[in-house]
Amino acid sequence: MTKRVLVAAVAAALPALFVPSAALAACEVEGQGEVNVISNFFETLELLGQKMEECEGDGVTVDVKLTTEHRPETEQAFAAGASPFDAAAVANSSITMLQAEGQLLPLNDLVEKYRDTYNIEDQMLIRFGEDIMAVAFMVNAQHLFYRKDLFEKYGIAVPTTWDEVLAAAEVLEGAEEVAHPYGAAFGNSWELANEYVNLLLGNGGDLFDPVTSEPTFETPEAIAALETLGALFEHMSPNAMSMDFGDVKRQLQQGDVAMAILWGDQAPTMDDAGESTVVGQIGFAPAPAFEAGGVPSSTFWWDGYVIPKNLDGDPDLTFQVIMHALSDATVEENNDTTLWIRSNYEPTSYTEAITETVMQGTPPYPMNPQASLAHSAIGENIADFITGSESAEQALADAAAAYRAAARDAGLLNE
Amino acid sequence: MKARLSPTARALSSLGLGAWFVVALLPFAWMFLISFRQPVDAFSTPPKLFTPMTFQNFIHVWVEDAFWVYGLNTIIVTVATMAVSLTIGCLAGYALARYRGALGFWLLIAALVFRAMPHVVLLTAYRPAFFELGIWSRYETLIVVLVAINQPFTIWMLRAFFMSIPPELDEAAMVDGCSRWGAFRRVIIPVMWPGIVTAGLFSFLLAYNDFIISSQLMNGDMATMTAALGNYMGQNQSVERLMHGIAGAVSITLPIIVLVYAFQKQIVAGMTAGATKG
Amino acid sequence: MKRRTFFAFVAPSVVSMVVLIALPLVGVIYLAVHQSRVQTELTEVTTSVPLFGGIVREETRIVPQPVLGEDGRAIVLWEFVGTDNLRRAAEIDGLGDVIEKSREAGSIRGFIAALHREITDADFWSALEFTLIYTFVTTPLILILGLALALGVDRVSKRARGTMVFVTLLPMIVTPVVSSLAVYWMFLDGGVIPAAISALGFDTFYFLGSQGTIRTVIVAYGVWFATPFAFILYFAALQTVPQDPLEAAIIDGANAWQRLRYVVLPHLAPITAVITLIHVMDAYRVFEPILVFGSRVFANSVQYLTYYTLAFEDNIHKAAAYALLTVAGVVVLLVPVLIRTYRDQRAGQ
Repeated sequence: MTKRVLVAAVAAALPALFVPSAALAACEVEGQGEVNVISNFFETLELLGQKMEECEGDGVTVDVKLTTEHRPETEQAFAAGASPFDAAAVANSSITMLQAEGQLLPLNDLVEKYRDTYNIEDQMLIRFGEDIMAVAFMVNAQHLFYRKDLFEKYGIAVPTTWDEVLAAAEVLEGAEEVAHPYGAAFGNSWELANEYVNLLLGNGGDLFDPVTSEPTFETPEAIAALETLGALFEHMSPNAMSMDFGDVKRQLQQGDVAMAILWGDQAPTMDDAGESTVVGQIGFAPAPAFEAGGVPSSTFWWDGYVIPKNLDGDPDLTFQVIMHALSDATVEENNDTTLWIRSNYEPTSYTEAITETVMQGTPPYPMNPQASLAHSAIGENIADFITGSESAEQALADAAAAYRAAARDAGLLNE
Repeated sequence: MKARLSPTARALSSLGLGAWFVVALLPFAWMFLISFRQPVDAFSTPPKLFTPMTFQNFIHVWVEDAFWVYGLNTIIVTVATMAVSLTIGCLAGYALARYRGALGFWLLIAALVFRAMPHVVLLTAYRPAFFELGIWSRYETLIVVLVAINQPFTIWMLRAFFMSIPPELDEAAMVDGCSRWGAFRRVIIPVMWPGIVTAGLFSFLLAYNDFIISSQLMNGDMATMTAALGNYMGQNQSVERLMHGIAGAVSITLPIIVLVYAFQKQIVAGMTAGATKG
Repeated sequence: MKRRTFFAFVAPSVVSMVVLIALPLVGVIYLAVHQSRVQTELTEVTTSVPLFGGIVREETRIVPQPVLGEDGRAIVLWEFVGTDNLRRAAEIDGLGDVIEKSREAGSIRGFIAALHREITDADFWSALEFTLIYTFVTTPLILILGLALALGVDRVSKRARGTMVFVTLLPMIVTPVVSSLAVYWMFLDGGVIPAAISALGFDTFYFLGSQGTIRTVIVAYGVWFATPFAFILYFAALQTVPQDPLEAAIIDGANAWQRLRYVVLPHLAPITAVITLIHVMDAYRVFEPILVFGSRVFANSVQYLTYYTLAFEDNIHKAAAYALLTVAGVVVLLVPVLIRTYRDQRAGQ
């Protein structure tokens, strides 16, 4: 190991040691007690967790549990008699079940009380009817990442439709620079279903009838969406059905694939020489659409915090801790971390593709309880088509049956 | 005494052991190697043998993420689980080896079925109950749960070891005026060390390696190292975090390696002690 | 041993198991025969969703909303459903159709192939299929490998013995999630093993691309992971092989194989039973490699299915039903052992 690396390592570690103590004084909360927060584990949430822990002191303890298993834990805690967690980080998909089971505390009074103190902006508030159920801080969407150098070399225009993606993949199939033209997270059933939902909604399809909750899985739009996934798989690594998001991201960073669909907030990591071999060579474009000028096949997501009705701590204190983390200052100091919702956020070139995707009409991920049941039923069943063991119709029929059973169990579907 | 083998058999034996040596070690050796790398080199395609090295991953995990807190939790939970587990397991294992009634049989059968319960399922029952009782995220809770889950295995294994000790031994002691308890403590336990060492090793590993239960029953700072590690490994967006996780994994593995190395004599002696005693 | 003494000795262990395993098990049975859901009504709800730069998108949809009780919490309805959940988890009602459908195949071979295809389309049965494959392929392999290793290590010098025991322990002592990942990384696109194969001049081989190869990799992981367990128990048991018959055999001119076959192996029979029993149960609960190797498409296990149902589908009742089926499967699997233990017990009385 070289001396330079050591110096760099220490230099990188030092600010992190000192920044929290400098900011510690900035967290002023009233009240006493424990605040336990559970959240998913990714960079922005980690940052916000650290901000929350700044509020520790004088009778206040803050403990943030970051875990990728946050969903079942949150659901079980909020359904229990008393939840050990006083707040949880959620997104469009995870809030729906919690809201549909009536477990969330409406935040209207707290928002009014602290609106000026923390400059709470209206656009941060997630409302279900009159009730404010969550305070959101960032949005995200999947879009296209591509190798600018290879597209130039082989004379390919940036694809805007799936047909163009497939045509580009055809050209790149023989390219010696990459092992495979295309990458997407097919290996994890949740992520695979997410790819499919993006395509389905982009193709004008729907998952279910909102009134009857009946699945609408077997429509021509659905079959076309699934067949597109199948066609894309032809241009992916044969291992793709075992590769999750992280593996696909590494494929692109290591120069193994020429284009991929990835989460927009990962864009800056493509230019991080510490983990990428293709610095400066990755371009970002909106997610492709089915027709030229159509709606990009993606969904947009927000992330925010909620407080349950059954918390065993103090909602007032909890809210202050959350809002301290979501303050203007956090956004200002960490502008490039993600696409913040607050108005003092300055857009960067890395988030342009997200905003373009959304501005071209990409819908939010459906915030209905049925959607999350449909999502897992689809993730369970469509792989059979992609690997070629079933027809698209059969795979979707299996998914519909699985969804029906789940919706019946949840009391959403009466038969 | 050991009889000689033919040269071919000896060569084959050495070759086999050598092959196993490589296979057993390779994934860990590779993990160890990449834990000192930047993400870009760690998962490069094709893999590289020589790359610049960095301690950044370890520094981050131990300094910034305060991994030692989890280490402390692990020590508390592991040691207590092992001690309690062996104590009550030895009592039950011994009784099961000596008792001839049908009840013992049914107890063993029940233990077998209990052992088959997927831990995930037990958790669904634990969590709401512990939330209500307010004993969630406490060392005692995790220790008691790990002990209970480990009991079926421990009593089966210890019973097998106790069965290999001739009953005449304790009977003789009892004829000499010892109570059953006295015979157990003074005569049986001293010759049981091989079994206790082996069972202790397994108890230790269960508590040390448990992921599902620790991660679900403990809150952030109360988690054991393994549970804390799951967070790095499970989250797949940031390669940097994954590298920290790998450094964490190596950090978790090192104490076991040191421990097994330090107690190697005792473990091997424990495992081989039967020969001299038998 | 007297009954009272027996009770006193086993009491602490039994209490811990009753409270923390038996009671939760009863809870699981309770969950499996019930169905609960939040009472909902369809309501028109306007949700506001933030974009950025101050833009908010409003959407009015018809959404099932909870009916709140007097305490402000949602009303949860519990209903006794008997064996409904179990039947659906096992897809018993579908099995009749499946057999009917498969009959159309004509030949017996065609029938079995069709039946297999239809059955493995059902979640539980396909998970059970791979669980059993995993269990019954790994068991003999770890017994043979473990014994071979134990015999080999038993012969080497004292110093080498320590090293070998130590290295052999590694796959077993390292946290399974970690070791699964360590192995998984070796097989990824451009991982060490595919790269080595390519370097030797063969075509790029995709280990994670098909059912056959991915299952082979998982089974190989299982053998690698569990062999140390068999090794340790065999090695400990080898130390207790009575020396007199061995010496007598040597004097009688028995060769190494004969000594192994007629003196050593019979002595190892009880520990072999213990290893088999414990390994079969552990293998039946295989979890980590399925989680890490990810591909539920190609390989699933009953424990992972339960976990997935619980964690991702959030369906406690269905998960409980899977869990009970899992336990039922274990009991069936253990019947031979149970009968044997019972006979031993009777013989001992």
